[in-house]
Amino acid sequence: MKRAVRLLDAGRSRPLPALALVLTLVAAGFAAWAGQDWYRAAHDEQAAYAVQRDAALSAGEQAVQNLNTLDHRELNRGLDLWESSTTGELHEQLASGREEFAAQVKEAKTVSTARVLSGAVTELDDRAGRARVLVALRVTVEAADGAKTDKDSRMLGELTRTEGRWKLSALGQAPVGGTSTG
Amino acid sequence: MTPTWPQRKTTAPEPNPTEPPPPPPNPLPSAEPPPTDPEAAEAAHTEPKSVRPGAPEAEAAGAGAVEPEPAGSGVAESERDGTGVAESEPAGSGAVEAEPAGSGAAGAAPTGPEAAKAEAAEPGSPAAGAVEPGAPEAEPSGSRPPAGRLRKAALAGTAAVLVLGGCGFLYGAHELRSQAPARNHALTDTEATTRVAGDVGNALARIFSYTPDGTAAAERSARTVLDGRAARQYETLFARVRDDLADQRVTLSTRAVRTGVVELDGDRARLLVFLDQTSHRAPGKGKGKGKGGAEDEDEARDAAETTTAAAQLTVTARLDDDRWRIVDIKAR
Repeated sequence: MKRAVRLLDAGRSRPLPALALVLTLVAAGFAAWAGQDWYRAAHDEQAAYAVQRDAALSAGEQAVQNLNTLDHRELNRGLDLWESSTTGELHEQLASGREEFAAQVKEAKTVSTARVLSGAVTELDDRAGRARVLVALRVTVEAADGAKTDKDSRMLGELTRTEGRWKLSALGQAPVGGTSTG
Repeated sequence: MTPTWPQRKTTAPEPNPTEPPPPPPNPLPSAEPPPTDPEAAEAAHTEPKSVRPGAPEAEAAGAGAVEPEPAGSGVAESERDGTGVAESEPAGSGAVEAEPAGSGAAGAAPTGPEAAKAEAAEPGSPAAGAVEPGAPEAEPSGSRPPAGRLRKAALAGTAAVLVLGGCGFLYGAHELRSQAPARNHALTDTEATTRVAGDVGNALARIFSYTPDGTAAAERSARTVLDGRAARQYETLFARVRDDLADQRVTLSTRAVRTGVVELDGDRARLLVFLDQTSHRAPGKGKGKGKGGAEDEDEARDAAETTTAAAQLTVTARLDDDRWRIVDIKAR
């Protein structure tokens, strides 16, 4: 009798842990799968590259805008910003020509304000930390007499990553009519 | 009292000799156990409430009434002892039962406990439904059941944690993948990026390049590469200049000097294109299409006039039938 009870008991208690074990294993399998899925997503090189691309673009747009913005009343602040937005050769050029340029702007008493219309990254070497950007820019120059002129320009910028930040290392206007037949 | 239980549980044969003694002390301990023994207290307070009161006590009463059964109780005990060897819990439960039964039957007879045990064991099968629930529930007061329940709880907890963790991972992966930078395939998908840039650059060059006599080619290209708003824009633009073109004999050649893909998401793309547009006004003479003296003069004055203009366009393109078509053009 007791044996019957015991059997019943066993019959009742065994399958439950077995089922629970199976369910737990299934849960473990699911968790493992989800974990590696997440890991792959988190360590996706494409995604990391995309993040770098966007970082380069926003830094590039900001730097191009900075370099085309200057208020003669806040020369030092503006020029400091120029220098902090650039690196390499461009930075050296700006630093060495600073005095002269500041004098010119003081004389002209102009206020330039730039606005980025659009920008795109055309090249990105994630490992070397180099990128090229296109930026369409509208620069508004306010002369000493208050007359404002708008000028659209298209800029080509080269960015270099220094200490984890993208900075402009070269900037120039996209040449117009370089190979035109005319 | 506690020391006697383990003895019964672990050593099956011994309890029999030792059991006789318990009955005499029973009356005394019967008062003691409930307060002193935690397990007995459990048995007395927790389980008996739910299970015992119904079946075993009633049976214990029956045991008091039907005395012949105690004879069988010896057999039952041996059986129980056997179970004690095989399984510790039933013995434990038997032991636990013995006490409350003893206390319950103490008033009836000194041999009551054994009768109660016998009853508890034997009627177990007829009243399986009643006793059975008692057995598993009595088990927790033994040593293994808490472990079993614990293990069960641990398993359930582990499973729940794993499932939750898995869901968390999935959610995290989804978040990562749906982030704006990851969804934009500009440059990350080099092939598609090169392709869309090339297609759009070529398309713009074709539709904005024409000769005074050959606007048809540009318009034909426009029909194949333009769509939506861009097509309508182009129509209105061309309707305006078509007549002038022939008059002014303008040759326009357009070249995409730089093309940057701002955004590329599946079949949608946004590009920034720098164009060079070179317009060339040919002198009307020599081509045999000059119209009159006054205009001749104009054309002579405009002769060989070549201007190159820079243009910046933001272009939206859509992939249609494996071809990129421009759906919107904005001059910047």
